[in-house]
Amino acid sequence: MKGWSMAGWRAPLLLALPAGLALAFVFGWPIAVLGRMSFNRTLPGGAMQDAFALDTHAGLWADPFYLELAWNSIELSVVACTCAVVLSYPVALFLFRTTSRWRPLLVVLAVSPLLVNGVVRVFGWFAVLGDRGIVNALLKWTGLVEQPVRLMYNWTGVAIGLTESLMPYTILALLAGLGRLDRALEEAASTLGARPSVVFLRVTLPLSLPAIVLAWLLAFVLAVSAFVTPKLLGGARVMTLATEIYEQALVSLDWPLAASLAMHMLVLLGLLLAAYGALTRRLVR
Amino acid sequence: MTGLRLSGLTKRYGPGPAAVDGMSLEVAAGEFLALLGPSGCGKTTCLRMLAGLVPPDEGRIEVGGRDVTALPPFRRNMGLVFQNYALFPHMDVAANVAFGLEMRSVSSAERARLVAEALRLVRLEGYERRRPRELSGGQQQRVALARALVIRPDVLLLDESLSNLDAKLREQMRLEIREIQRKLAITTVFVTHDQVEALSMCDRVAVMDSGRVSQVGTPEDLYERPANRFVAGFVGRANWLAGIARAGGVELAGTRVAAVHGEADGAAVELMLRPHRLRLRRAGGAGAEGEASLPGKVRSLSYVGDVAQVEVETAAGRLVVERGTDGGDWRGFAEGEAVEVGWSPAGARAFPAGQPARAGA
Repeated sequence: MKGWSMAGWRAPLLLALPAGLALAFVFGWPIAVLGRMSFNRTLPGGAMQDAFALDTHAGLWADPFYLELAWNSIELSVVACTCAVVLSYPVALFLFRTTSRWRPLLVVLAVSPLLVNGVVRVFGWFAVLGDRGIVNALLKWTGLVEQPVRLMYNWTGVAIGLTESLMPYTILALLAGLGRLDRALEEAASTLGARPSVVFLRVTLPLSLPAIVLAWLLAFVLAVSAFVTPKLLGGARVMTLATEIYEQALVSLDWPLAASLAMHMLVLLGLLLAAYGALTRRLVR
Repeated sequence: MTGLRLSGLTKRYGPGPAAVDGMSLEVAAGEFLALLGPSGCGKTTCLRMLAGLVPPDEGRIEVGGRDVTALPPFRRNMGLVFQNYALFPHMDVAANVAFGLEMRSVSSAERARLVAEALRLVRLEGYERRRPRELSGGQQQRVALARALVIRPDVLLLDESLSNLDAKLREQMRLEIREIQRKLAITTVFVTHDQVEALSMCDRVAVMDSGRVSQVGTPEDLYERPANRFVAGFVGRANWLAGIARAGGVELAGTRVAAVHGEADGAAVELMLRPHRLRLRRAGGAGAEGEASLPGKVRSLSYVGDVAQVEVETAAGRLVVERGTDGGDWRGFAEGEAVEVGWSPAGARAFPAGQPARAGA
């Protein structure tokens, strides 16, 4: 018995070791380096000075621009992931339900945007959302508008592009989470007198809640850290934490500032996830 | 009280034989009827058509004289107990039971009263706030039953409702369901593949085979007077001996024995003999008045508790004879001993040969 109990805690630890080491090396170490860098100073000439000072962090908090940036990122992410989850839910529900022999193909199709490079996908949106894109051509042709509607290089464009880029992930997450949705439960509700809309609201939706939470969470993490879509579809007009970090690290070469922004974003994300987790645990039980 | 009538009910899934093929059946008000058959015989499809979950291709379903064939499940007022109970995992016991009442806009005070009454009926008072996953299989079964009964359904439908319980609990639930059904006098259709359940619980049993009703009757009818080879083989255990039909009997390996059948002289038949209706005596001993018999040799004896099975090799084939173990006289025969197997002709029925016996006895 003793031997077994030893194996009981040792074996999982041993199994987790390779992944743990890899993560520590490629994830933990760079973050530590970044954290250290955020305490360095940037001299007026732009050079980095080794130091252990809070100047950079303090500077962030003093400048309202960065608060707005953070708020902008969160708002954009919340809107985009909510849209993505709402749009994905019917698709995932259909894919989960269908008994068609085309089901595997349909699932692959639903996540196929992942096969296309993110940059290329954004360029695809140019053709759709541009002033002479499909949407505006359609609007003009139907006579709804005289002047093209700005759908690109602004907040709306980024939200649309971000929503689309999140959907393959939300569909996959929903599909995985719908596993415990049993058709018999819906049938039971309907034999007890529930109309289809009531079955959906009282049985299907509550039972999909864990899946929805999971999908939303995944999408949120991806959205906050999204860089390509806001950068390209937003032009220089839509700024998020991610684009600003890029800007500071690779254009302005202000590494301590970029590092400080990144650390703040990490903490912010951690706090938001913790709050969200606490909230949904209560909701889903 | 409402009866149930199915006429010409048919359902096809794709090409090939229909799952339910022109099924007609009548269930009297307050009657407890079993749909008994092997898996794939169409009994579950039939039940789902009754509940409105599967639309029939042809035929009519009437409840209390009213045609409900075209009604969706939520307008049918039928209580269905699913095989896996299908309790709502996100609701507690009380909410599960109250669901149907809520759908019928019953006031909350009345709802609470009816839920309490239904839970008392299935002996689950005090479990209102539990979640389904905190209940045992038997308790879940009771909740499902209470949920189906509380809406006062016109018809109660039970879909293999006992098959997920262990043997002891199943026996207890059998008695309980029967008692509740009697108390409420509710028209009930019970789908099962378990003949013991069907025979012990139900007023009448409809044996199904390949989407059709093979025979409907009381448990005794089915057992004592099976209409065909399938029913005889499916309900109860049986020995089968090949023979040739003769007037008033069957010729078995040259010996003529009395038996009941409706076949023409000379037709190939199979004779059914129930193991526990066979009597065994030493060769040369005198049989009872009017008894039919075959000589044979004891091949093996096996003790299985309440009975002992004696396997006898006769010229017409092998026969299993069951003897009560009470008193221990089953030991009176030894392997290899020459014996005579006897039976009363009224219990021996012959059916046309060549029909496959699809299910094990």
